Parts: sequence; structure tokens; C-alpha cells
Amino acid sequence: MLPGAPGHERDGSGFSLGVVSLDSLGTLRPGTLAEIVCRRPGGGGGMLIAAVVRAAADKQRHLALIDGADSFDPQSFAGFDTRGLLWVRCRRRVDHAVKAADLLLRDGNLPLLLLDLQLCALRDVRSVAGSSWYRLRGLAQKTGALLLTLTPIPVIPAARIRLELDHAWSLDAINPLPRPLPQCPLSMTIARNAEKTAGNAELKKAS
Amino acid sequence: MFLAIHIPGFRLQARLRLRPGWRCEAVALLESPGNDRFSASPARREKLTRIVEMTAAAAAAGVETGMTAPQGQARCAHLRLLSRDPEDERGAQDLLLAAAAGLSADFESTAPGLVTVDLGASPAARAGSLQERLGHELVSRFADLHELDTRAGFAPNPDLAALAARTAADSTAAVRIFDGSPACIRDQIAPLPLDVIDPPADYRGILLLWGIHTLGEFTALPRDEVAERLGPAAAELWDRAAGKHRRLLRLVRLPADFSQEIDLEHEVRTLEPLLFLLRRGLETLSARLATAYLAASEIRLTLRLGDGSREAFAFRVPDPGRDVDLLFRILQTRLEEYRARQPVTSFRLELAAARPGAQPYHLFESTLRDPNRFGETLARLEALLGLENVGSPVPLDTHRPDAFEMRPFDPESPATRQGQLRDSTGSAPPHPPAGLPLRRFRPPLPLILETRRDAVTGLQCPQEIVSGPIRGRPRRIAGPWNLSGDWWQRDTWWTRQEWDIQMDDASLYRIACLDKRDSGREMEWVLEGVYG
Repeated sequence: MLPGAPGHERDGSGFSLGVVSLDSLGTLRPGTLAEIVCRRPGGGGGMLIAAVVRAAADKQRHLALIDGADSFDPQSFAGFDTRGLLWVRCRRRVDHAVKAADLLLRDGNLPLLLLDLQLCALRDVRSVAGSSWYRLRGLAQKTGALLLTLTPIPVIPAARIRLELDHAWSLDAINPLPRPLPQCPLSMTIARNAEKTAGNAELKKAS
Repeated sequence: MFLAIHIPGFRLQARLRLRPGWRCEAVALLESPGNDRFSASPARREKLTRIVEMTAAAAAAGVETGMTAPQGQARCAHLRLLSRDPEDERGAQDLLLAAAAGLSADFESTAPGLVTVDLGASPAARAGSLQERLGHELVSRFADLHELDTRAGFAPNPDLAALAARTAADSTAAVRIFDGSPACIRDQIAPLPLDVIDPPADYRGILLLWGIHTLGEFTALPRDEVAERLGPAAAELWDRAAGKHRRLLRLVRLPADFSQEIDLEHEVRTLEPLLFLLRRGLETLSARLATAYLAASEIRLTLRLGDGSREAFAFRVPDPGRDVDLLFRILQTRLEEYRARQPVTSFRLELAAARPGAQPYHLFESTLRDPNRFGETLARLEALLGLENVGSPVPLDTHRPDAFEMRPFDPESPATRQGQLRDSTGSAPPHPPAGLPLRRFRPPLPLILETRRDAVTGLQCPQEIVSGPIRGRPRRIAGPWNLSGDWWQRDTWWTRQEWDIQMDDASLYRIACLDKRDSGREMEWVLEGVYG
């Protein structure tokens, strides 16, 4: 593969997700299971999805969005091509969403998977067995895919990285945005980073 | 050098492909004169129907060709009877043709159950050891993959090769080679009975009267005198008996029909027998594709059910190919989740042909590592979630909220450099790029609101949400935005009023007021989604 051609960064340097605060953390690499906890429904999960979808489209990369609550709105994500987006609508079935993630990770063709469980019922999200998450992490490591999981509460014991996302906007920001994507910042904190060496696990705030 | 591949008892073997367990049993094949089911009364047809072929077990039990079905069953009480099936025979013949196509571009469909291949200048045409090995490989492949007992014959001319293959059936060897000088070949075939060259009935009678029973006895007669006594046709017969007759192959040019229709003898109620038959069908059709150097880009299956209705399926093959295992897996994955209302009585299987490797490779666009594996994964996802829940979203050209269609995910379609979203008509997006994205609740969640008439505008403005997934008095409200559409169509007319609200926890929501056209009531408030 030619340097600079799409997909070249798969071989080592990690993914650019189009979110400045996320990329600046430098923690998300291929073969990783990362959990992004967004406790409020409007805390930035949608913006994160939009940024990742936009970045994938700009780089002409394929992306799978496993939509646990079937909340993706195609009319909102306008301005970029969604033909590279595989939208998997699970209609509030968290078990189906986990199975879909399992199938796509085993397939090994897609480098980036976004598993959105943020708007699913809490009891359904909690009911996913810990062993399932460890299995998904193993598959991600094996295939080199990056699995980003949005959850309403911390539920993934196997996540190497856990980020807390909580951003607020005013009513005026609904339309238009102060700055266009992807420069729009999202407030994130690192809640867990198993990638860091022991003894260096203090929280950083990125903005 | 020519190679002939022959299936002994072709018509019966073609039927037994779908019943491999019957090969060791006593089975006989019936045929009516002309095999025309509609030419005579049932009673008459039954009288004329005769046994034409049988398995070794049936022959050992005393069943003979020419017997009627009752006569055969009198000899063998547990004799199974089958009728000829042209579709099965066509499928078996296609397998022979596919094998021939894999060896050479010049081959002939000589007769049912017999194909002849011109090996030309290939290495197998030169060395006897290679010929024997090739012959045994072919025989083994047919036995292992297609459950057909075949014989192979090699000779310097087509008719002699066919003779070698046919006579190999009578011996324990699966491969027979007639090679060497003309005199040597003549000596090799001399002991063979006269019937192997299929002499016309009148010539056969005359030759038997003369006491001629073998090819050697026939060719001992002077050729010119045979022609003088019996005519020019007898001279050609003499040449064939001497192994000297040369002719051109009638080369096969296959029609582009890659479909197969099978009427089942018994209704199929479970998936396993249907899959068995479909796999056989895929083998046959894949073989036909191979002869035309084409690949399958789509699998089309139509099932006819017991009540006369039909169910049609179309499964795309991401990377066109002929691999039967891959095609079968695509079919099996989709059918595992299918539940038929009635038993299946027949089916039609078709493979849409395409040039292998027809998909262009875009150098600077990311492609999948393994498109066929990805196709199987998509099939599994669709089986798990439903066809309508897996794909790429495309907004429709309308202002109706949440209007989009799901299209099959096509990873090979080129994306535009500028990333412009195209709607279903292929033109620029109908909506300008929006601000904060909305995350929808599907279906929208009902709310009970208290409203107050605004003194300035006279509008009913939301004041407090008293019941629903969110409750309380909004911190801020923006709106309304009045939307309507399709007003020129009675059935699809819609109208709504949308508001954006911010609650105390800073979350932003969209709520909508639907008029009675949408909900059947005077007014209905719903929570459409959350921003951010």
C-alpha cells in the first residue's frame, strides 16, 4: 500500500477520529476496545458519532455504526457521503448489538466499529455479561480493529481505555454551530487508561 | 490425442446423484417409448414402459433390461423404480462438459453421458503415463465431488476414444488407452464385440449371418469388398471397426442459460433436504459458468410453495466467482432464518453471470480485505436483524422528518472526493448542513404537556412536561417551526409543529406537536429526539 493512501495508517500510527480532543489524547490505537461514557442523553455522544462518521467519509474509509437504540438520524448528518457507512439498526436490542459487533469483528474487514448503546435502557446495557466484553476485546486485538463503545454508564470491565464525555451546548447552538465539525471541541476526561504504565494514572483534562 | 469421458448407465446415474444412498440398492430406471407422458392413456403407457437401466444389485437379483416394472418387481421384491428426469440428465451432462472445458477449449457433447475432448498438443496428449494419471484423476474427481461413476478413454481419434471409454466400463480398469501404430490399435480392439460400434440393425443382421461377432473378424474382410457388397456406409463402419475413422468434433458452444428448475417428487418441509438439492443445483450451474468462463454475481432463488404461491430471493455475490462452497454458504445463511408458510414443492435456481474480476480496483480507495467473507457477514447480520436494518442510509428528497431509505451496503462504490451527500435521486442534498445532530427516538415518545397561549403571537407554547420520559419545566424554548408536506395527496398529507427545548440538566430536545391527521387525535405531543 502506498504511503498516504487510505488505510496506510492502519499499520501503526492509530486512527484520527476527527475529534480534536480525542485525537490529542493519543490513546486510541488499532486493536483496542475503548469505552466512552456519556451519562446525559445530550452530552455529546451524537457529536462524537458525527465527527467519526465525517472523518471516515473524508478519508474514504469504511465504518460500521452499530446503533443499539436505532437513534441515528441520516438527515442530521448531511454534507458528507454516507455510502461508506454501514448502519446496523438493532432496534433497542442490546443483545443483537453485541452479536453484530462480534460478527463484524470476526469478519475483520472493517477497521473501525462504533457501538452506540448510549440511549439503550440501563438494565439492558448492564445485562451484557463481562465475558462478552472480554471476547470483543480479544477479537479487536486479533483483527486490529478499533471498537469504540458509547455507554450511558461504565459497564465494560474489559475496556483498556474509558473516557467520560460530558459537553453542554446552549439552545442557540442547535443551528448553526459556532464552528463546523470537526473542530468543534468536546470535553472529555480519561477515566481509565490501561495502556499507560503503572504509577502514571492521574487524570488529564483535555479540551 | 482425444479423451472421452463416459458415464455408464448415464440416465440412472443422473437420477441417483440426488439419492446417493440408493446406489447399493436394487434400483431400475423406467422409460416409456418416446418418453412422452402425454401421448397415450396411462394404462397404455404403463404397458409400454420398460426397464432400461439398473444397478448392479438389481441385475444380480435377476432384473433385466426390457422388463416391465411388474416383471422387475417379481424378480426383486424390494426393487426401487425411478423415471427418467431430463433436468437431472442435463445437470450431469453439464458436469461432463465443465470437466471437458477445464481440459481444452475444443470439446464435443458426443452423446448423453459421453463427451470427447481434443487434447491437441497438451502434455497429456504425448505421454501415456500422463494420460493414465489424468484419466484416474478425472474419475476420482467425479466420484468424490459429484458421486458419478465415470470412465475415461484415450485414443488418436474421437470415435476410438469413445470406444475406449465405453469398453473401459466393462472392465475393472477405469481408464483405457488405445495407443501405438494403426496395426497395434487394430489388434487391441480386435477382440471387442461388434455391438460396441453400434452397427445399423440391417448391417448387424447380415454380419451375424456371416458369422462375424467381433471387430477383428469384421476388419479381416477386405474393406473394398465390404463397401461393394453393403454400400458406402459399410465402409465407414469398417473404418470405425479398424479404429481408422477420423472426423471433426462438433464443438460445443454453450447457451448462456444458468438456471435450473426442479419439481420435487415430495414436498419438502425442512431445510436440510432443500439445501442438499440446492447445493447440487449450484454445482451444476457453476459448472455451466465454468464452461463459459463466467462467474456468478447474484444468486436468484424462487420457491414454489404448496398453496401455489412463490417466494423469490436475490442474494448478491460481492466478488463474482464460481466457488460452490462460497455460493452455498451465502444461500444457506439467508435461508436459515427463512420460515416458509407452506412446504416447498419446486424451486428455480439461477445464477446471474458476470465476468470474473469485473469489479474495478480503485487504487487510491480503501477496499475490503475479503469481499466474499464480508458478504457472508452482511448476510448473517441481515438474518439476525432483518434486511431493512442493515445497509447505508440515504435521505429522501422530502422535508418530511426522518425520511430516508436503506440501501444495500456497497463497499466498492466510489465516494466523491468532496464528500457531497447525494439523496435518493442523486442530486445535491435538499437540506443545508444542520448544526447539532439529532438523535431520534424511534418511535417518537409520547408526552403530556401543559401549554399556555402566548399573548403576543397567540400560539400555544409548551410550559411544562407533566408526563413522559422527561419531565419538568424547560429552561428555554425555541420555536415553533411549522412543517407540512404532501398536501396534494390525501393519504400522505402531513403537518407538524416543532419546538426545541433545553431542560435543567442542559440537555437539548426536540418536541413536536402533531395534528390529528398524523395521530387521529386533536393534538399529540411527542419527544422526537435529543441534540448533541
